[in-house]
Amino acid sequence: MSLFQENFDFVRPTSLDQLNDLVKEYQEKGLEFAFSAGGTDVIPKLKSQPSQLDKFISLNGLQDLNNVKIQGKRISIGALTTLSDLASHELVREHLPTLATAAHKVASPQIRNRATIGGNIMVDNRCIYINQSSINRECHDPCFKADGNVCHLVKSARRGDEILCQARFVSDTAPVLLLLNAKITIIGPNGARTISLGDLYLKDGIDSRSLQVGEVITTIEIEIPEDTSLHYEKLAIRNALDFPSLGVAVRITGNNLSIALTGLNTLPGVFHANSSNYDTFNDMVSAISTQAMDFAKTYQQDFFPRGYRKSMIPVFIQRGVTSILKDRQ
Amino acid sequence: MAKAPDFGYKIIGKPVPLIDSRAKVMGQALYTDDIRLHNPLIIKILRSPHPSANIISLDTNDALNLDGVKGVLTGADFKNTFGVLTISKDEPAIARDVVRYEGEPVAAVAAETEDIAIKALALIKVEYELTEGVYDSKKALKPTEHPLHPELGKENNLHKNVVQEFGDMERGFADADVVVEKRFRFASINHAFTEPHATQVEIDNQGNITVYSATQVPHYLHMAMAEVLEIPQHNIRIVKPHLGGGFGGKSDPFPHEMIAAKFALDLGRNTRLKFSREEVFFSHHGRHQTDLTMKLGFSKDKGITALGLNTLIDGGAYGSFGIVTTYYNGVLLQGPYKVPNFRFHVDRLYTNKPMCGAMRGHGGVNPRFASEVLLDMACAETGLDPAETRLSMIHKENTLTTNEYRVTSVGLRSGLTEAIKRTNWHEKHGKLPFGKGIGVACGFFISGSALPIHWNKLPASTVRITIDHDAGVTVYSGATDIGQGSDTMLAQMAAEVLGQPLENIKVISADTRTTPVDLGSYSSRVTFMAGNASRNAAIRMRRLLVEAACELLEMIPPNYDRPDKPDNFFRQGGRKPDFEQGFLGPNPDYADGFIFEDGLIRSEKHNASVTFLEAVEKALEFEGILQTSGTYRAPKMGGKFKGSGAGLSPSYSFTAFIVEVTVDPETGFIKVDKATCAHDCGMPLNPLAVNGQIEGCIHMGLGQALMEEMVYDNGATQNPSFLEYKIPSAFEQPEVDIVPCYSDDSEGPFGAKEAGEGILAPIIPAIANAVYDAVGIRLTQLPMRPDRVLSALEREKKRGEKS
Repeated sequence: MSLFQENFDFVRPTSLDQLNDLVKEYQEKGLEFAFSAGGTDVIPKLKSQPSQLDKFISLNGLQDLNNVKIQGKRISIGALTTLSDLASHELVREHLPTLATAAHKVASPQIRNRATIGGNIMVDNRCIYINQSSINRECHDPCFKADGNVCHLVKSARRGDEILCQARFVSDTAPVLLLLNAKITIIGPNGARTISLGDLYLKDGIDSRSLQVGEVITTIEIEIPEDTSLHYEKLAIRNALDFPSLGVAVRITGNNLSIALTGLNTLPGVFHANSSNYDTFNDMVSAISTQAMDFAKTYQQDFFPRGYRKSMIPVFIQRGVTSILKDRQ
Repeated sequence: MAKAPDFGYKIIGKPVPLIDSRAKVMGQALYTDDIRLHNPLIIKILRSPHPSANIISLDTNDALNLDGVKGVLTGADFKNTFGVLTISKDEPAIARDVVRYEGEPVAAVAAETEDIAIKALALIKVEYELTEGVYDSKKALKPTEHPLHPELGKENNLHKNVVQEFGDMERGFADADVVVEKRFRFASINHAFTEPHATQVEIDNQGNITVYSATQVPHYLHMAMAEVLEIPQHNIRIVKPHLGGGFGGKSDPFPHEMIAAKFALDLGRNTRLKFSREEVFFSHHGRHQTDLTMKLGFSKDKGITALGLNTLIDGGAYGSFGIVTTYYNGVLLQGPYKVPNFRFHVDRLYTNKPMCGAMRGHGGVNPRFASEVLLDMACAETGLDPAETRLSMIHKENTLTTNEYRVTSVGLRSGLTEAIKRTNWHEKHGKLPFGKGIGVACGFFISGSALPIHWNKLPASTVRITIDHDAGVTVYSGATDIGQGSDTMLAQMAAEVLGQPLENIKVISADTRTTPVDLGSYSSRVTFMAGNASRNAAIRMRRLLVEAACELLEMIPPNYDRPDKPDNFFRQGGRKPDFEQGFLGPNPDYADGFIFEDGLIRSEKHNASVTFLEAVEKALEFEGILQTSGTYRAPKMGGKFKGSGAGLSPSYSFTAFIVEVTVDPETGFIKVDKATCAHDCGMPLNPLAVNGQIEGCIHMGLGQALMEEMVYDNGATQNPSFLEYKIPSAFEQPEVDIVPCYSDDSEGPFGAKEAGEGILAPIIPAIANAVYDAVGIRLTQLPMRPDRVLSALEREKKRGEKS
């Protein structure tokens, strides 16, 4: 059975001013609205999860946000740049090749042709109990993320807990962007602001982004790194379609090591290690691997058993390190 | 690339695109849900959210009172249960009082729009009393006071038990140099066809209904529907439009088909229904979850000395094809090698899960995995080469197996020999670096079930051919093209015999009003049976045209009154010939002294010819219409013991795979690098279609081998979507090398056998055997997920440290 709600208005503003006016109007009238860029995350959710939308705001009319620019040492990526365009863009391939790789590892060619980089860093957290069939919803009590009162993964969870929902973070591009210290510009009814990408992500699986109602991401800015090497490795049973069961980005700057993780917790994990604190490089790798494994909250909500996913963390970190060191030679 | 030997045929054996491929690629082919009937009611099904419950009350009043709702059906509206097999008609169209699986229909709504229908479903109030379900086949064997099907009068949830024993097992194992035994477990998997189930029903002003449905078996649907709706069959016409894949998953009559037809009859309105992908997974009918223990005795000199297995298959809530599946879990092990002493014990259990049924390779796939892995182990223990050993053990032509199947043509030996050569097997096996491996496995499958599901004496397939006054040839057949290309195959038969270009042959198929009965697309029967029928109808047509040509040319027509090819033991299974008068035996020779080509019918002896059109016009003078029929029926075969008919087929196909893999010992990922296939399908009628079947089987086998799995949590389907149910993507498909492999089957049409199912089974154990060659582990559980590979590697490491 399809729950697809079809009786909402579809609006497509063509400028940021127009967008802001619409948002203000809807807020004043108390209307429910949702944003969609490529729609590849939002529309399937509309089909499977109950919603009471009044307005469906497509961001695809904002042409200014669909480009990649370079200014000196800074690359600026419009949030509506599709993952296909990003993965094949000359500037990105030249200066940020690992970002191109990560973008290429998202879903399938068809989805990447529609899905945007803004959408991928905003992609909603997932859990087998929320991204589930209509009938299974009837069978189970609704969970916190479905406005219910239970968590099927953590039975003891209660309202008021710091982390109510364990739905996991699944963006492929975020780990690489985080290690590149990306900044994002956000506009909304109260004007524009720029924050570190890391500040976008919150601990709880329900409201997992720090955007205010009516805010959208417009651009992602990255300083082109010097003397660094990155690697992104994704765990998925197929080479297409799947969300990461685990994703590990590794960056080596000088002799220091940074990693960023996806697919393991309600938000991405970022860890840095300074080589001066360790006797050997290998010690540093083991220490950061231990931190990463402690960070992992692998509930059974994936194709792979939890123990396996956890055990792959050090393997993937080591692969990233090995690959970077090999490239440097 | 599959390749056919050159027998001088013009169309047979040539790689021709399927006749409907252009329409499909251009988006012009109409699938069931593409048909636009006038003003249909939209039907939605309310499904149980509980796998095991009693329905205490069901209130449909609010739904019925909703504006735009035209009708509501519940279990009380259907008296008769149904099932594809006459011996297990245990499924209601809508659950009555009891629900047995999550997703079972409990009510249905017909409304003017989809929105209204969905709203109405929410207004139906069902009060359930949850009952204790059984979700595991071992538990289902235990006695219970509340079996799923109390009408069977059993004390547990056993649906069917089959035990067959041949020879002397004890002596067989005593004769062995090595005895290997293992327990194997297999997840249930889904067909994952592209087109979800859909049905539309058109009703005329006399109450006749035309049912357009995505089905593999119009004939069985026809019979089941007449019984469930309690109307004569002639009031029902079943039409199968273009179909987007079946793989066995559309070979049962389904509840939704009954529901859509019932609404049309009750309300006098056209109806329309289609499944979401979720509903496809809830309906399932896929491969049984299987738990089997197998023991193989092997002698260096004699080959397999004994094979025994004990198997539990989890059937889910209803019977479906399950009884056949139960037999096939045993009997299909009678090839491709001689098994002199053989015993199997298979139990099919009812559980509170969506039912399992027929799926490509039906019942034979999982035991094949076990036997081919055990054979590999036996070879490893005795130091024999697993490819050469298999080569030496393949059935010889014209063999009677231990359970009395007559095996006629066998073309695999040359194919496997070539595959060994092409893959450089001897340079690779056991010699590749750690992590790289090569493995081999063989398979065997029926080329159509010799016996019908509903016992009768009618031909297994009948084909009618007509030629219009404009010389256009039309082939009418009940055979169901489900994407495998059977329409093209029927056209090829007629085109070859009548010397016409393929595009001059029109095919009308799978319409119970206009086409003669064919039993449907299952058990890989269509090429063999409908193919023979089409060929025979074309031969009869050819005779009419030759007679007309002779009259025009003032020649004496050829004398057809000569005996068919001599019978021999293997043709008739040791029994008396059963050729009725006028019945053209399989594969009759049609040489008649005339050549049909270039629009002419030319006498070979005399330098004289008429045009095809002139002959048609002359022939039409007699009757006004030009029409012939051809039939196929399997010869009488088989042993005289109970259950001897299971797996009986007029011919058998043989397959070998050599697979090369890379195993990552750190992550446990298996990458299949290359699959080399030799498949003996007799004469490859259309090498392009054979290639497609081989590539498709590799893809499907890869899925079951590495990732596909229906996940249930106490009966609740956990992954009813193509995101969470993992089918391999194009990236996982390996390089494929198809080795020429053929035999000339004496009874297959132009020597052909099946190419649709048998290919699937051996690819899976070939992967497992290649993994053993790569990293030294025996995987016994499907899918062979990376975590299972790692666990096995750790166990192997510990074992190595101990010893």
